[in-house]
Amino acid sequence: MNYKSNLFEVIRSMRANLLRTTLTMIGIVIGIGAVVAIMSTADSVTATVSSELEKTGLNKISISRRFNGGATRILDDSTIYFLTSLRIVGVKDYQGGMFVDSQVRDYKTGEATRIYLNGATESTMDNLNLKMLAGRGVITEEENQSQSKVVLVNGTLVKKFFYGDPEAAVNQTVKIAGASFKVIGVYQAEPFSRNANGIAPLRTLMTQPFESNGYTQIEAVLDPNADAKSVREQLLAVMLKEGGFTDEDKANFYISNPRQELDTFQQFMLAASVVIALIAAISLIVGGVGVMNIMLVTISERTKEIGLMRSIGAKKRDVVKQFLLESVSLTIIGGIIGVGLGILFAYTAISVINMFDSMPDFIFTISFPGIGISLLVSVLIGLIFGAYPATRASKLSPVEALRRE
Amino acid sequence: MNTIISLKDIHKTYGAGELSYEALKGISLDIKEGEMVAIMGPSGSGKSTLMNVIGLLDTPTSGQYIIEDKNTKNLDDDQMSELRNHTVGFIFQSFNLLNRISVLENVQRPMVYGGIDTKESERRALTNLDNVGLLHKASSFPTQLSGGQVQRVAIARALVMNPAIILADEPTGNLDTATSTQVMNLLCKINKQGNTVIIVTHSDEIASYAKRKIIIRDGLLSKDIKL
Repeated sequence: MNYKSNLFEVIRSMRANLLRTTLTMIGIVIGIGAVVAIMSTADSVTATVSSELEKTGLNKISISRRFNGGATRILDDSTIYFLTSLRIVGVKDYQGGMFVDSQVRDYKTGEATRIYLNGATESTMDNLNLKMLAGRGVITEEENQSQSKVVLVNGTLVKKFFYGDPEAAVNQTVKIAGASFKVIGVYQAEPFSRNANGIAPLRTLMTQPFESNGYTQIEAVLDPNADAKSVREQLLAVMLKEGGFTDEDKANFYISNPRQELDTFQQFMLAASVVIALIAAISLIVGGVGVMNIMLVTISERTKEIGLMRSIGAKKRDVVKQFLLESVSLTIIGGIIGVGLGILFAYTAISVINMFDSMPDFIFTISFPGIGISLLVSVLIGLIFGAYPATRASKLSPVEALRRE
Repeated sequence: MNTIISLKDIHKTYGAGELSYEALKGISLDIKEGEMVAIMGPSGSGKSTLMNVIGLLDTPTSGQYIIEDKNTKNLDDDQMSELRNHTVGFIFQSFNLLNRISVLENVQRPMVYGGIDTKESERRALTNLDNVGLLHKASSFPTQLSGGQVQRVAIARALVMNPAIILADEPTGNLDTATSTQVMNLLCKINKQGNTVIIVTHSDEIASYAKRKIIIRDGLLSKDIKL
């Protein structure tokens, strides 16, 4: 068979029945479009979150206090000194960190809200990747050592206390846990966060007015090519032994596992997008039935033509090929349009999400496996749902077919 | 001359039981290579059924049909298709051109199924269009042609695989007298080149072009006149 000239013929016959062709394709277009849109959006979310995680957390393993555990003081400078002395391969440095859950009060109005404070030093500030809206993004070593009562706050707090105007917040005073703190900078709210958060010098958070009992966490900063899994195992063994615990689940500390968390997240996103895409793919079955329907109509309209084909020497399989080519052309063109619309939809969705400040900037990603699978599926639909009409056409008796008007 | 078509006691029954209808009731007939034969008879006589059997579009219920020394009983669907492609060329009363493809593509159609490559197929189609005087219409579409022109395209299509037998079913049934004469002269010319031509008609005028008249009545051969 001469596929090239046949293909031109198919396209001409599609153009001749433009309305019918379009209506039939819509089912396929919507099905494929939905699958591609979902896969691409999910890929964008995965890529964005992964890159956020990699930026901030992947090169660190944190040991943090678990509050249901005992009150043993295990996380302080002596712990850091001890861990450093072990010289665990792959660990560059240890950093104590403080997280304080407190209350902040607007100096003028007296309005109060909950605030989570993170203790930082000049060196750890760099790792936070803050996007500054106003003031400075630096805590000096001097401020840390002198336990200065200065604070950087996020956009969420500024919305609550300063009508969302970052410039107006700088150099103002707020009361945290009863003490006056000067706002020295405002940074953009963290991705996915609706909390009022702040950053203050680490040493400040370890003194009055905060109840301090060592650090809330110690972070092991890893070398870029460190074996995170092995480091985590060594830290766990040491910490369990020191604390006299036998079981990780019963210990009064928790050791994070960033790589595993990222893997889990990526697996979850993949599974979720595949499940949703499969649900969307149900509409493809509906589209396929539409294709089958229109092929049956086409064949009954062109019965005489089938008779002619047989009378000039077409074999049964030539008839099957002809009509399969038509149904596959229908679904593959529908598939290509669907891919285009799906990408456009995903792009629009990502652009809309990016208009919200509370979200990180999503990276638009085109899901190439998604597109490949979609196009393959549209070919399969054409073959599967075209098979019955095409076979039926080939089984027509040539005489009967020719007699039909 | 060799016998190219040999029918022995051909029966064709449609349906079964009480509602069955016997269109052919035992026809025996030999046609030799190079003959020009007219099959005549009133409507319902079974002449179209006979033509469909000869053209391998239909299979007889009983009897023996040998075409080019091949017993059709032993042929499967693919082999029958090949014979329709290589050995028999059909010309229909209603022309049966495909309107959505060009004249050239219509003529090329049988070669698509005959597995002839595009270049050769185009060359042959153009030669055949030239023979029927329609080379200048190659890129036109059938709807742009007159009835006589359409039938001449159909003749070019029937000849393009150079079949030994041309089967024409009321070829002038839809044409006026002038174009009928044109088409019949063309069929005579083809016959002179050696092709066996079988024309089914109920018109004496058309039948007069043939050298042999076979008259079918009630599913039986009633007269076989050689002129």
